[in-house]
Amino acid sequence: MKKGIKILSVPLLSIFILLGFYFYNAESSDQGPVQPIRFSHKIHVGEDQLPCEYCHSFVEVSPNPGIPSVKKCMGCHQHIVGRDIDYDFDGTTINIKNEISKVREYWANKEPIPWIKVNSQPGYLHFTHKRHIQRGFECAQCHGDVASMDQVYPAYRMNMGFCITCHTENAKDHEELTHLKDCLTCHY
Amino acid sequence: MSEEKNGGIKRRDFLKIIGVAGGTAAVASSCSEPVEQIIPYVIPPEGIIPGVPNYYASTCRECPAGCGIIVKNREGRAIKIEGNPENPINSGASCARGQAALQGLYNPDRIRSPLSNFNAEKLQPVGWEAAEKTLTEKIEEVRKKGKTGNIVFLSNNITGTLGNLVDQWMDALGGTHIQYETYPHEPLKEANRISFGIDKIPTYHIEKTEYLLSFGADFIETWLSPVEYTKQFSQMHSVKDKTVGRFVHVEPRASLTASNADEWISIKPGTEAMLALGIANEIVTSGQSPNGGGGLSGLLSRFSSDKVSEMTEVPKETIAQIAKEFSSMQPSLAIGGGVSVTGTNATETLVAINILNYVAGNIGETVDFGDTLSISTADSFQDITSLVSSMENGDIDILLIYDVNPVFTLPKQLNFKDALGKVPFVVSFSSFMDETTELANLILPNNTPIESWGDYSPRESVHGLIQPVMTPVFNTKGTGDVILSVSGQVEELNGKFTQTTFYDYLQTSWKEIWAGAPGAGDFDTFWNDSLEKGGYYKELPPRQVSLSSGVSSIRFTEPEFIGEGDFYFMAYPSYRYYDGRGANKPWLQELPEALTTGVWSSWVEVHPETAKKLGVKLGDFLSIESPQGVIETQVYVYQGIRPDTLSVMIGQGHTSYGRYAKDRGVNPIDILPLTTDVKSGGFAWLSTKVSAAKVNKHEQFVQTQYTTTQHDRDIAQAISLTELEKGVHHEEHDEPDFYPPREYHKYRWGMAIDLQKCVGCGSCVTACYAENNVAFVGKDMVAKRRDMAWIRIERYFEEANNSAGFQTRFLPMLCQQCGNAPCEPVCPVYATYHNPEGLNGMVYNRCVGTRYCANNCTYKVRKFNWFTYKWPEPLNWQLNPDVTVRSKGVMEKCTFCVQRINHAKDIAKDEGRDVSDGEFKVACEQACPAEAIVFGNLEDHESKASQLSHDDRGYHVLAAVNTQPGITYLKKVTQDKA
Amino acid sequence: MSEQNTLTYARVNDDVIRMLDKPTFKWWALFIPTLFFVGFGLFCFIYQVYTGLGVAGYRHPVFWGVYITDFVFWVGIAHSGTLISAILFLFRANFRMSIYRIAEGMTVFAVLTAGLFPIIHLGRPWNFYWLFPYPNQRELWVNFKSPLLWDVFAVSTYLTVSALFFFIGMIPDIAAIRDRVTEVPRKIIYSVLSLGWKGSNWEWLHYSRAYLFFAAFATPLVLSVHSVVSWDFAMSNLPGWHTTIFAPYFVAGAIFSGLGMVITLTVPIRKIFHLEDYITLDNYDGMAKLIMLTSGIVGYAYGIEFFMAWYSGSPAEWGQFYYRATGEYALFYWIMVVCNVIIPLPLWFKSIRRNIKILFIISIFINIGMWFERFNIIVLSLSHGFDPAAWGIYKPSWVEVGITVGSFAWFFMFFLIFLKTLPSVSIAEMKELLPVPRKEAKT
Repeated sequence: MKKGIKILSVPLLSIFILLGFYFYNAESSDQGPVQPIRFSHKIHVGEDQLPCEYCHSFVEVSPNPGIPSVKKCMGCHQHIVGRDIDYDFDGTTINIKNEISKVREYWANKEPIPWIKVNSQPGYLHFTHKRHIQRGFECAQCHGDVASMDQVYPAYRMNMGFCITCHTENAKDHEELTHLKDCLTCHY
Repeated sequence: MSEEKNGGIKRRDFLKIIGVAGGTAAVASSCSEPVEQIIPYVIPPEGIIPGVPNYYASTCRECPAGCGIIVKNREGRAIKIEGNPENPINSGASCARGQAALQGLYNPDRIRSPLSNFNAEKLQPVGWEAAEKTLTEKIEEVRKKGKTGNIVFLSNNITGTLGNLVDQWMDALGGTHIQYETYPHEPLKEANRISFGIDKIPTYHIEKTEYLLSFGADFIETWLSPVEYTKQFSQMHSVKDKTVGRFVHVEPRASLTASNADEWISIKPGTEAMLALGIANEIVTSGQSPNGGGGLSGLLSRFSSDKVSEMTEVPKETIAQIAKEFSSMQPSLAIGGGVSVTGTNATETLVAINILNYVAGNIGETVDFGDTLSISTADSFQDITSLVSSMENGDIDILLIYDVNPVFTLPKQLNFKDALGKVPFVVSFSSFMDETTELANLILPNNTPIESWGDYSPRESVHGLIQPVMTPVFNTKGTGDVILSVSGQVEELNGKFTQTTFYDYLQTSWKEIWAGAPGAGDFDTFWNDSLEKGGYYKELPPRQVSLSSGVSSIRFTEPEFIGEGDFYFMAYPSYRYYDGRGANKPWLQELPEALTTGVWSSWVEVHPETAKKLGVKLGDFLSIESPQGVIETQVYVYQGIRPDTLSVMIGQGHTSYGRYAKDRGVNPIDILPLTTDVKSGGFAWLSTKVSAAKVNKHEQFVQTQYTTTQHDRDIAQAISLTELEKGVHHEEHDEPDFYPPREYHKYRWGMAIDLQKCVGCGSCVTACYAENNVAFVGKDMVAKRRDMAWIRIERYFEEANNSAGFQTRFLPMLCQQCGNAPCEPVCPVYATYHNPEGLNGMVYNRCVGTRYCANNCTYKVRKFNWFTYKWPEPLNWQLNPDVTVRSKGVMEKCTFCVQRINHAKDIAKDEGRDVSDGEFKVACEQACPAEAIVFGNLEDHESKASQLSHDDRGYHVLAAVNTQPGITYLKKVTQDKA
Repeated sequence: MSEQNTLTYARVNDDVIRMLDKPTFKWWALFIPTLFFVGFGLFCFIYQVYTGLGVAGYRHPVFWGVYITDFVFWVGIAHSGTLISAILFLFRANFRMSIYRIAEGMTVFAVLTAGLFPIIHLGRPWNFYWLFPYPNQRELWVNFKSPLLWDVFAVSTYLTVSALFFFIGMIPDIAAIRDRVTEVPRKIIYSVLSLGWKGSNWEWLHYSRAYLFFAAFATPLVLSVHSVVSWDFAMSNLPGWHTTIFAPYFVAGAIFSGLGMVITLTVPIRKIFHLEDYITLDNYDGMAKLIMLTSGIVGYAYGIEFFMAWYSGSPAEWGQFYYRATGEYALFYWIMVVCNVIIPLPLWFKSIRRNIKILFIISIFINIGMWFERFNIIVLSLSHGFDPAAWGIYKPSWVEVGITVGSFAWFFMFFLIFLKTLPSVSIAEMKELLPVPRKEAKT
């Protein structure tokens, strides 16, 4: 009988270990993806005090906020070449000048910068930034304190619970609540 | 790199265009999604906001009618075509073909770069420079020989700037420009010349008529300007204070147009002239003619109704009745055209119809020669035949072919194909590898109208502008630009054209239009204004015409028929494929033909008696033999055709032209003899008698409705005119219900569909496919009844006491958005539920696919995703980003275009107001040429929809089930009294 | 009379436990192919999940087909078990003693089989758990109005109860086996399963009470479960489904098919394991009588459906039933009628009821007939609904056939294992029928 337990224990243990790893990884994923250019929101938003709308300029008029065109980047980086110093970017040391020169490269080749999406929603969900901004929400309420992030990472797990809770708390009256909890408001 | 060379889709460029739009992702299945990239613009294009659509007015070129269109553009991709309300021709509506133009643009089988077989075995991709150089050299070569008139530019009827450019170019090169149209309506022209001394095709005003008599003119399908005339017809035929206009159609076959007539008169092919004159005679002799026959009584007296009745096989009473109605129900109008009257005596027939109109005093009233159609300017069939003969004699050195497919659309007997082989250098500007293009030596793929600048003037009063809505999908180039740049390279043409781009050339030529436009301000304002409105439209005064004396001397002859067979053979143009150009568009292939509900193939219509004689039934194959050849196709047994006639639709039977068109059905033109209308010289479509024999082969006849009658279910209801006049009391039945009635505040979305207006053309179906990312599934799947259409046109043949013995009823069936929906309570997970605004919400991502909702749906309008359907690149570029693309295992159905509702509410919210009636339209409503569908807010009692849903004719389909639908149908009107 | 053919406590133990000997070649010959077909069914399912439900014959408007047919069929089979063990127990019908164990086993395995189909037929089976009410961040709940949800509860409840009832009934027998077997693994397993049963009076007292309660508790389920299943259809508005007769009609049908299956299973077992003395002709006679009754009820239902359809005056209703008898599927309809109403008629003769061979053949036909009954109700109603424009014909595909065959194999797999591991005839209750053994008086 003991023998039986021994035999069982080996696969069981390994399964537990694997599961452990799985959950461990799942939890440790808010590092944010490594972008083609180590673009630091901390510098741009935190130090330089750029308003979000400056780059994500459609956020008030369109469902999606828009990613700045390379031209927009060059608007500033024509002149700002960047200090030739090392910078601690979330633990990895980068040279600011080098990173900025990458932007100029893309511009020179007239190529778009293949950014990697940080906060994304599935296609069956139709979220509109416009409505939320016009309602007076701060970007930070969903995206967290971007000003303190070098590499932007998902501050909140934007699942349906996240939306529903907020909708429930902020509904003006019952009529609006029914609207905000109506599936067809977001799913169609 | 190779990708560039063979002009594969340049993915990156595309991404540059689409900016941050994720496009539409599929319903996420359980598995996690891959890393998503967001590609920003390098340089943001002017006025494009990602996520916000732009609309560009342009002109449709799917047929000569030239309707105005508005193309919806999202992130640089054209995703939807809609009619342009500003345009006087179609005023906002569109047909299925117009909707499907997008699938021409994004067709996976488009030619992706110039091809040339210059010093090569077969056609190979070449760069544009090389291609143009080849053409230049060839032209100079020919010019060196010093011969003239041996360069021919064969195009369709391109009126407007490009036409002028080609003319100038050909003049400069000493070549000729031949404009070939498949259906040029020459007899109509000639008849008008004989009758009124004007060899033009007028515009008609059906909407003004009380009584419409059509001799074979299939104006709902393809005749002259289908969308416009359908619109006019539905105005004339709809219920106005308890009266309706009357429409009688004369044709050997009950076409879609005939099916919408109050009376379909089945006539012996080729004898329409006799009938027309018989009626005219009746009118005159019975003294009902306002102008007393205008001195034609002598001519007419030869056509006593006895004689006519005997020749036409139309009973005397009918003739007398039509005569009475035609003269009494003023204003009336008789129109003629279409293949069924285009025999060897076509012109005479149309003259006879003119006479009929004349004696009834309709000329100038409902026929307008002030504004004539530009199709009048197409070249004659003789020009084509002579071209072919000179090609055969090797007199043509260079043949440039633009936007026509003569190998397919000309009868085999003419041997265009062989003649083409005798031409040393053939250039095609086609963007598709069709039967003609595959024989070309050099292919310079043209942009589709959606990608290029241009204009088109379908009639004197309309100058439609064509503007590029997106950057070319493939490595193609506008033909105008090609001509200009080639001319620049040909020495002797240097300085001939000052402009280097067609855009400049276009503007220059529009300066003339501007000059002719009164009070247009400076040119730029005029130009921008025209771009905005989709063109320049002007009012033209109606032109008074009088019958010329030549008429009385005309001889009315019997039609001639080639072949000894016992059946008249009718090859009729399809309203889905026109002359075959539509066959490569899956939407059109999958759009059920209104009467047979057949898809993805072709068939021969056979009368039940004939079928019995031949021993064939639905799905059997019949071989049809004319002196010119044999075709073999499936049988559809149809009571709406004469026993002595067989008919096959034109458009299928391609041997090339892409995966969707190739090897599908048969091309009836192949077996047509090369006969012409005696007087006009135009091609005689209905001029052969064929023999038919059963072939030992049977296949399932793939259709979307296997029943022809209603089985007493009273789904498509009708009301007689007398009842209507008596006025029916509309019972607001308020049955006791276990549940309290639903409360709506502000919005309850609903719809009213007028069956008296619906003509069954199916443009709503295609519009729905386009708007809602509805998948096309192909013939095999439709055969398994797995078509995904959210809206279907149900057609029922009802017994009726008219001369045909039956009446056709069409009923657009879509989700009824029931107030008491059977689908809702049975869903275990609330994937379908009732939304506060009266919609049956369908939440794809919550659906687990028990399919109980569909089982319990009284109307069976729910469709299930049996598989994850694919759109081959780049067809998927058309997908609407505002609508989820469904994946396998979820249910879907009509959503009342909820994305449009939400968008409208969004706009309203920005402006701090409620959505107002008619502020937006749902896709099917928007497309409908007959204005049969009206969508709106039922809570707003002023709204058109809510008004109509309380109409006397209003009823709910299968009301007994107490589903309390949000859609009210308005009964069709049967005319029980003459 | 010899020791051999009179039953004693000792011999009962011997005979029953003999059945649990090492599997013979015959057993393996049955078991291996069974496994193969289970595997094939599994393959079909995986293929279906991967490609999409389209690989089945489904089409608009027939959204349910063979899978739901199988579901109802197996739920039906599942019924007789509890019926025989619980209801007949309450009615003290002794003929149940010998067969109830097999019947109960059958019940449990049939429910196990039936339970698969609601998941198999889903468009997105990987989301099946959404059908259970569990709290989630989405704040989404299930729709208790939906009969499908009632199904979830009905079937799971039925599985639990019948499984428990099955096990409780077995405890004393398992104990008996435990006492006999010696080799280690089996000894351990049986000891665990017997829950330390000693067979003391005290235990017997509580045991019989518990058993009675379970019987009483299981009985209403027999009626409720299949009523709920019938409401999957009756609650809809579809002509052919929307009728009040369905609950009794389905329950009767379930018992009918269940008894059919019991006979089909017991006859060969009886033969192979020589249980003639246990499963007697009287037992079969009793079952046959029940079959007569239920067949009558089912036949009546067929008739009254037609009458009501005509009487309702609704073209859709009448159209549906006229179609069943005359449409493309008429053959299936008449197969059903013949198998379920005509073929059982001979059972009115005692001689037939006591003729095992004929009984066996009839039972097979009953199984076939009842499968087709479900098929007709589901597919024919769907293919011929309210709107003529949406009528269509459904043909099962090889995938559906594969999974159906697989389900039978799945069922028999459990059954074969059961035969070799657990007492398929109740030792304890058989003994109740026997005289208590006593010592011979010395002379």
